Amino acid sequence: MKKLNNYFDLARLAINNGDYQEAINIYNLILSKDKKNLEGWIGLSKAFYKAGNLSASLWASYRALELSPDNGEIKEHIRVLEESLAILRKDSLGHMSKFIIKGSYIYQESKGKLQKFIVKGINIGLGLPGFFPGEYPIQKTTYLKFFQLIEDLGLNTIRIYTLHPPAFYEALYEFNKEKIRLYLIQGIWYDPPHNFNLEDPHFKLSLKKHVHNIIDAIHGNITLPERPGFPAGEYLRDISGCLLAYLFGREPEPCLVKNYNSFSKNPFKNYSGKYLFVEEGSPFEIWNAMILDEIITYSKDKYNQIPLVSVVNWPPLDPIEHYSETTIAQEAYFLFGEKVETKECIDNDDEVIFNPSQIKSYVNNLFISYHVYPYYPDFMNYSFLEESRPYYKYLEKLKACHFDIPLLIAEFGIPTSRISAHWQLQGWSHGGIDQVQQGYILKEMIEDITKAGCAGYLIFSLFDEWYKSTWFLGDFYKPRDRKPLWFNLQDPEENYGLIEIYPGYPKKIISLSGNLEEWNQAEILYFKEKITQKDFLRSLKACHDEGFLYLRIETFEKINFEKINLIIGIDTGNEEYGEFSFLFDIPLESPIGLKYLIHLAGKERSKIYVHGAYNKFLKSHFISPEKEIYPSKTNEGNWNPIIIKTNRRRVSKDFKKIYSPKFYYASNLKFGSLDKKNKYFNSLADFYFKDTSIELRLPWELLNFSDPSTQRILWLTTGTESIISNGLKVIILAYKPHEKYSPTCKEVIDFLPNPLVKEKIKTYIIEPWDYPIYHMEPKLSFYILKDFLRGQLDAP
Amino acid sequence: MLHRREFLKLLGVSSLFSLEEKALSFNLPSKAIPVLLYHEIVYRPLNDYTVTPHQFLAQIELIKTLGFNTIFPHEAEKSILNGERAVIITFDDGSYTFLEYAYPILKEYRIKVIMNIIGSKVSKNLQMITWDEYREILDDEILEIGCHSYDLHFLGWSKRVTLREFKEDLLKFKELVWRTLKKEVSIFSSPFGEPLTEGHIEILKDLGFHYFFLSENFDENIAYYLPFSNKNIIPRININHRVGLKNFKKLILSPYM
Repeated sequence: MKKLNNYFDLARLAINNGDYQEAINIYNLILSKDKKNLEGWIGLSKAFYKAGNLSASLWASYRALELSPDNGEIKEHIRVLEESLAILRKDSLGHMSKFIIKGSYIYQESKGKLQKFIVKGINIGLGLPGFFPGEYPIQKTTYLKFFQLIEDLGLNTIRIYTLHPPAFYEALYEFNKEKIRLYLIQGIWYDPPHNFNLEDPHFKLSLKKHVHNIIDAIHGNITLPERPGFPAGEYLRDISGCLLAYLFGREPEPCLVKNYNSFSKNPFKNYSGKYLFVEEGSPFEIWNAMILDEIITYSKDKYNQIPLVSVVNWPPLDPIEHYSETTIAQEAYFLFGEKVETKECIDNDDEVIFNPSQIKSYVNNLFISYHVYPYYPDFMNYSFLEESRPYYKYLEKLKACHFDIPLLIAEFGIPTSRISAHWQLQGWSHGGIDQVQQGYILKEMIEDITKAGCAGYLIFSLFDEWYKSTWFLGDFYKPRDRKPLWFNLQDPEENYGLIEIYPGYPKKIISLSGNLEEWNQAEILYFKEKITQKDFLRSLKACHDEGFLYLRIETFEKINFEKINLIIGIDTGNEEYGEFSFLFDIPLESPIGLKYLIHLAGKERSKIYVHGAYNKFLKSHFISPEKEIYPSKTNEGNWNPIIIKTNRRRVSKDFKKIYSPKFYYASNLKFGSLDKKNKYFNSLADFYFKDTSIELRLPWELLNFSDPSTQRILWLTTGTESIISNGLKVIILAYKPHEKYSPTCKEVIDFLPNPLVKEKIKTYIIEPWDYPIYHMEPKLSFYILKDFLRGQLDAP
Repeated sequence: MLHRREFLKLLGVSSLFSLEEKALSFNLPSKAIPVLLYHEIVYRPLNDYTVTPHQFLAQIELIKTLGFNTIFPHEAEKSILNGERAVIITFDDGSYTFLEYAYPILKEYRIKVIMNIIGSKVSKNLQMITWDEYREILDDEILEIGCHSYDLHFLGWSKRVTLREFKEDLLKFKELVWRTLKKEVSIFSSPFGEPLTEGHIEILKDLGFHYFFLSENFDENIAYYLPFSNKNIIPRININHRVGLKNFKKLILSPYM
């Protein structure tokens, strides 16, 4: 456990480095351990001040003053802050941009001339470690850092999904004050009401108010009170001069559209608004037109600005017929003879259409926006099986549906997670992609988007967000509300960013590069002197952070996997449960129940196995009635690989074509280093070895931790979801593989602990945490993309 | 009619061991290869022809980590001469559960496997793998298609069906597989493991079948494939959920101990 002094050193370092966001976090951690720490409160106040958050700095100063009422320095700081806050004035950007729509592109009016404006942008989320987005944690200086990076990348636009706190607009104002360097697409998010009733009077009223608030905030003309889940404070900066557009909505669930279209009381088939109109539109299309009209009307009436507007759409609702996309009910009946009997609506990916082209503008200010990923829905593959560029082919079709109006690809991306959640024909899958691959794939996607005649693109996304979860992993985060406190490299949804947000400050605690110093703070689990010629294993060290368990094995001789293989047995808690036999014909039994087995046999042949009864993916996402997931007591070598089913079996609409299910094999351990200067750099590296040292990096979730921040491991039985681990135990075996039947064991030569008895096995305890430590660093994809966008990229 | 015992004599193999969970003993001729027979991989209902998904995965890991090569029958002699540990993995019927639970790991490890299909059932019953799916996975080049008859998958077929009907059934099968998959089939797996007569074998050979698969229940005596003694007739060991991993290990290792 780190001492408080270490954290103070870290916080000071963060301040000196200009990493005020991180400093705030570290001070919060210090204060969580000692609420009455004066130095902590003073430090927090300073960090907030440096981060540009004067009101939070003032609050922290008052807390410090409570602890030291006569402290002159604190009083002086409070005085300065109060003065500074009192003199904050409204201000606006001195320049006003004007955009219009012409044909398939957006044009910018400049000095009486129209210039084509290709949107080159990126989406900015809200979820920093330790927070859900509704807590709005990002500080002004962090926004400024982000903006600088985005500009460096060669982009011209940022998109946010919802109203951010005033710090965002302050930062954008400051960034664009001299000249406009980044344009803003301001999102207007809504959560549909219960039962998807968009006609609910309370919902309609609050949505209208929400729209007005956002427009007022853009014009620096509103003070919002504290409300849970919403940003609050004084919006003093009018940044409407760099507003590119308002982008309304989110990816509408097919059921939302279907229900509204079926039950809407809206009698109109046509809509004729002040600025927009719809002819022969569906109720949902008209509902969206009305909201967009409200945005334009309010903006024009109050601020004399007719903004560009658009609404979010996505492929499940596109106007294209997809042969391969049967409904779930039809498919279940056809494939398995099962009748899906539920009153609940089921989201199908090609059943309902929302065609935004039905909405037309009298004033040329409307464009179309789609979020388009290459691996979802399944038709992104199955409609294009013969194509070498399936993503491009889809975009080409989509553009043909919206041929006379700009089409913005408002989200696209590919995550750098360890595992994949969806298969893609050409390898652009939903994860299992390293940072270098991410860079080149994003480049190719941009080329496809451009070639398809789109008006621009917004990359998803700027930074990794720990609170997110992918469809097949969310069920294993127990408790779910602590997920923002730990990082899962396995989860695709967490790893879309061009900036990685990674445990450790100011850098990774372990970089898998053979750097001994990194292991100074690690716990020594076993250590022995060389006594006999046979002794091979010297020591085992362990340490961890918010994302991983790290192990370092040291040997007496240089590692040569042709001659000696290693087996690491891991017990994540409750040693009486688990598997007691090894694989590889090892003639020994484990003294403790093992949940995982790692086989180290070289760069290309190393793997991790899970106890068959603890194989959560097999029991949860394949066809399985088994509900219990816990490591039962076995002694037979019941070891499974980790395989993820990414795509279920599908059938075409005419039931003539069947598409086989798809899978991702996640047991392979990747050799590599996390040090970008190392020639074996690989952002997905699981282990590294050099000379007499082997280092491993194991994501918590790979080891079935459901919440490492409270030491919880998955233990799904009747009445139990997870249990608190009584600590990790690790044992190691070294063996000579058989010359003929490798990797089977010819002879066990050494083990740790030695003797391999229960009493000698050490327990590694994970201290719980409530404030995660992290740092931010551009991924390699950032630099690849930067070179591409600036025209300096060599062929990969 | 050659009965099972006679077949075993023909193969030079007799009483080996039972796969019930008790101590095993055996007297195995050298140069034998274990041939595994699977049907369905499910959690429930369990019967004599099912293994559970995690059992199957664990068995494959055993095969892999014990240094086995997986081979096709035509590679058996060479494999023995090379002194390899080899196993032949086969499935009968073409259950869809093969795609769900078996194929992902077999593909990852490039494990060769023979699927003996019932021609008339493919793409008709969706509990079975479809032609589309076979086409998709055949590209991976680890799967060989065998014949489990076109439409003779019923008990007592070997007595109730004339040799002429047998031949017609096989021709129909071969024609179908050639038309849909562009594959020649050289493996015949007797439906329900029923014994074959010399007449059956003659027809099979005439139609270009080289290997004839039989099946042995797990609770009977075990027979291994002896390619040097009898190249064409291949006894297989039916693996089901009652075969524990320790016995499974002994089963595959026996010829090499």
